[in-house]
Amino acid sequence: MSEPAPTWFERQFLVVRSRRVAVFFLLTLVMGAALAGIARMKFSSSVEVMLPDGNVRDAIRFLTEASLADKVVVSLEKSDPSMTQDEFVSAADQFTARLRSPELVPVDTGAATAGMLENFTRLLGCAPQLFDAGALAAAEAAVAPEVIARSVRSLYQDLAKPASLFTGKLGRNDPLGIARSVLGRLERLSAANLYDVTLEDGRLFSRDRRHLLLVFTTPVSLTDSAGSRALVDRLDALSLPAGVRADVVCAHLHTASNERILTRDIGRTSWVGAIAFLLIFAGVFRDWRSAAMLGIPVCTALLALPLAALFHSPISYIVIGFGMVIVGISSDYGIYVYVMTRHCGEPARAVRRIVRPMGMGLLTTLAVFFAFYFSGIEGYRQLATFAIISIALAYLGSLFLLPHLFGERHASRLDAAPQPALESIPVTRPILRALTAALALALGLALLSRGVFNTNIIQLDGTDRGVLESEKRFEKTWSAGGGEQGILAVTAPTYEEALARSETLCDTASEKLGGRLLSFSTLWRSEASRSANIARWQAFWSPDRIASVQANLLESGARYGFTAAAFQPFFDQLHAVPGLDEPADNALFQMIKDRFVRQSADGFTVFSFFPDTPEFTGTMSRLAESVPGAFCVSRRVLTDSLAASIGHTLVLVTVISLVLVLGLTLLLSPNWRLALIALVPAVAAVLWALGVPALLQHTINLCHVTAAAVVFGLCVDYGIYMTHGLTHGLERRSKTTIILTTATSLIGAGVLLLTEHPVLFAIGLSLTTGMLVGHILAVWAVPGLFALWARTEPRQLSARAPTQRP
Amino acid sequence: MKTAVFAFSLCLASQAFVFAAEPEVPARIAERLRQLESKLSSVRTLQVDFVQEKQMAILEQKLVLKGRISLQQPDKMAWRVRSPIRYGMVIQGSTLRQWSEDTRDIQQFSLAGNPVFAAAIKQIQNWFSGNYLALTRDFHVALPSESPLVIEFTPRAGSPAREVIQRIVMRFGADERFLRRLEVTETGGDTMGITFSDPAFNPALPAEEWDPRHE
Repeated sequence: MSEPAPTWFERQFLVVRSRRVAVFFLLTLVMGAALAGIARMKFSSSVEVMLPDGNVRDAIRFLTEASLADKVVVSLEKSDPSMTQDEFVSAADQFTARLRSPELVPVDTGAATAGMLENFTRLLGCAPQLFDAGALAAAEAAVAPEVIARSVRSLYQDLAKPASLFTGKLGRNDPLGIARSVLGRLERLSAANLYDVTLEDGRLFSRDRRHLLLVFTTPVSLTDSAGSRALVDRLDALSLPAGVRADVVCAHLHTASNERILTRDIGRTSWVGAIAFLLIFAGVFRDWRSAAMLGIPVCTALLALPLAALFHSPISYIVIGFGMVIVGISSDYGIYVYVMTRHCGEPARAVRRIVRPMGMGLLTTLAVFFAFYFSGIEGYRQLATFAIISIALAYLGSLFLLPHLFGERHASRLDAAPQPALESIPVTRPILRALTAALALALGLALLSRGVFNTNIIQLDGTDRGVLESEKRFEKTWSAGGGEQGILAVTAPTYEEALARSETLCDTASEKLGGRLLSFSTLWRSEASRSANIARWQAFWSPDRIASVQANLLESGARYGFTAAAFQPFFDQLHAVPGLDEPADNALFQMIKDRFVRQSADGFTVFSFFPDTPEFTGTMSRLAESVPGAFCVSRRVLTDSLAASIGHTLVLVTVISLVLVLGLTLLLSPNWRLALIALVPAVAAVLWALGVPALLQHTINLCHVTAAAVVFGLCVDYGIYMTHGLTHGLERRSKTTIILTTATSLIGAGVLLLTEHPVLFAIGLSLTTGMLVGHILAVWAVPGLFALWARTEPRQLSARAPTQRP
Repeated sequence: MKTAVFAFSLCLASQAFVFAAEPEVPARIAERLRQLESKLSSVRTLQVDFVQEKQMAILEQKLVLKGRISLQQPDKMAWRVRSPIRYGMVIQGSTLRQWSEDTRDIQQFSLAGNPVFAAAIKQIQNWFSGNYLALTRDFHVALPSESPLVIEFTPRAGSPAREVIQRIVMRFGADERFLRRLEVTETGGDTMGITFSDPAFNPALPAEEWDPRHE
């Protein structure tokens, strides 16, 4: 019988073999280049990559870059009850002085309480610019004779108030309260119930005066890992004054903490994983060359990193943390090749037999990761690119390189076990096995039904608990407790354009939602609006009206003993020509403006605040979509968005399931019963992957769902391999292969259980649980189900099977 | 996220504030003020009647107000005017409530978000509660007479008080346990004098004392 003609694969295999020295030399150079590339790569420890694309992520990034990035806020607490207030202030001043450095500069922007009253009085002069239709209606009511009489009595009563010493001048400048009602918007902006701060002697105290707030700016960039570490070390090292404790809030703490935990996790998983892989290969194969089975996936993972960085930069440490899982998955191909080649003297022929089935397994695995490109989450796209490159290269490396490292024929401990005849393998206790599958499915479903989905972003933040607790205390101390606030940001290249866009949006929002929107636009408008307001003011204050108001004021004032000149400052202002310019030299106005307007490289952003309720947030989000440069940030938007992402990922899993079921049924399963049986381990694995976190009282988050998708892809393979082995009488070999591949995959995932970062741990928990359940059901329950519902003659099935599996 | 949004708004807000430097106060005066504060520190609650005379350019005649002040350390103060009109104001921490016979309802607002008014109220609280060292941040201090004790405060450059106050004179009784008379000269020339009488030291103040409607 003549040998069949060599296939394309065999020809390429032989080409590589004939030039293997050159090929391995070339690959060594490539690996060197890859390592050099990794050394120069930028990594990110931010959990931002785990946020869905779109407004929310942009908004968080904007907020961080716009303000938090250069701020360090320290909340000092007087913990010693015997400490006097002066001693507390003195301790705070000393602490500020010790912290002061080029990296930490106390905030000092020049606006103080000094001149506040004068500035407020001067702002009354801006009333014409703020005189909108609402103000006009109020003014018309205020100039009625009986209202003037009431206003004058009110002014007289004000003289009885202790603060009249400081505020009496306001009354003389604006006896009818017309300008003050306009400027009431300013008061509303400055008194916004967003935080609870009392300003005393230029210091920011909490309501109970036991806390004092210190704000510093820092030039250290958030992306500067070393700088952030140094800054955090400096903060940690500084001893606090006696009787005082401090809570520090800054984004650098998150950067440094996440990076420290992630790098520690990556180091730990790498070492533990590598040792576990080597032990299992050495224990099972007892062949030093089996180390190559680990070497190939490790090398391909290292090669995939810089290649992935060509498409995504910076690569997230979270993706790196997934590396050992990828190594575990991609080492499967080496195991298949090793097992096959040990039985055949000619590696090319041996490997040829598994090219296609291994390729099918590759495709199902890649399909899961490919689906991540549609998740709308950058972290998953990074993971997809990294995994696809790594696994595909591992597949190619296992086919074309690995056999050359093993030699012509290699023996292992596995060879010692005689392979029984195909027909001699009975399936014992099939009913028990089938019941096991049913029980696993039922239990998994019961566990999952107890699960609670959580879309809180904080779950994904690996920052030290100490830092998070410190932030909670900070928020409790300084939050006014007026409910959560959403932020609307409107950005434009110029200040005027930003004002115009913001006022358009806020006017519409106010019509729909009433007056609970806190916006700079309610105080200061664009130039066009201000011009219209001035025209309205001038039309209102006609000479006749001024004369009439003057007569009424004099008459009413005389009743309370006011002199004729008492209200002259008011009439002087009415006769002045209003200007259009912004009161740039007014510190009070600037203080408000600094709070609501930020200048950045992209131009100007006007901020507004609103109650984070479903009605407000929904309306503001919809309105923001219609205005260029506008976006909303709120806990609700983020939560909804993450919930949508989880839903999206769940849909994705379902779609992948359908595609896999249909595709694999057509390609590999002789009938629908086998396809269903093959799916049992995967379905149960997914249920357990999501159910076990619920059992452990963890809420289910996006990471668990993502891991479940990977679990499904891998466990479908287990089911297919097993049913395929059963139909072809190869279950013993299939079982061995599944045990080994599951063991390596479990090591890759299991090491993640040693991690501290919540993202890595959550993924590790679901992967490990799911794969373990999937594996057990594949090797134990699938043969039972097969024996009960799908056993047919192996020879008949072989004739219909498209390929042979390892 | 919640903290990020909160901290963001706080950071924006905090841009506006300055940490003032500690002023220099002559040692002798600082020591004398400390002694005075020490004497007053034994007074946890205080009730005192007052007569306030205001000589103002906008009024044809001098305005005379009569009423009572109640204080409770560390942060409660009630100011009641009984004639010629009825008015009540109560400060508890950073919350201010006031009532007048005209409006007949209680207005309440937080001093936290109103730095202008808060600064004014803080000044007044310091005058009456005996936090004289705190006043040295905003005022130069002189002692025209040691016995009976008379303290003269003139606003420092840049202090909020300088906008409206030219000089404050505090005159104490012989035992220095309470302020006998306070005189304020405003920048525009208006004057205000308050004479205190019938002080009650450490009386038990009932809860309704902190109701601005209370008589």
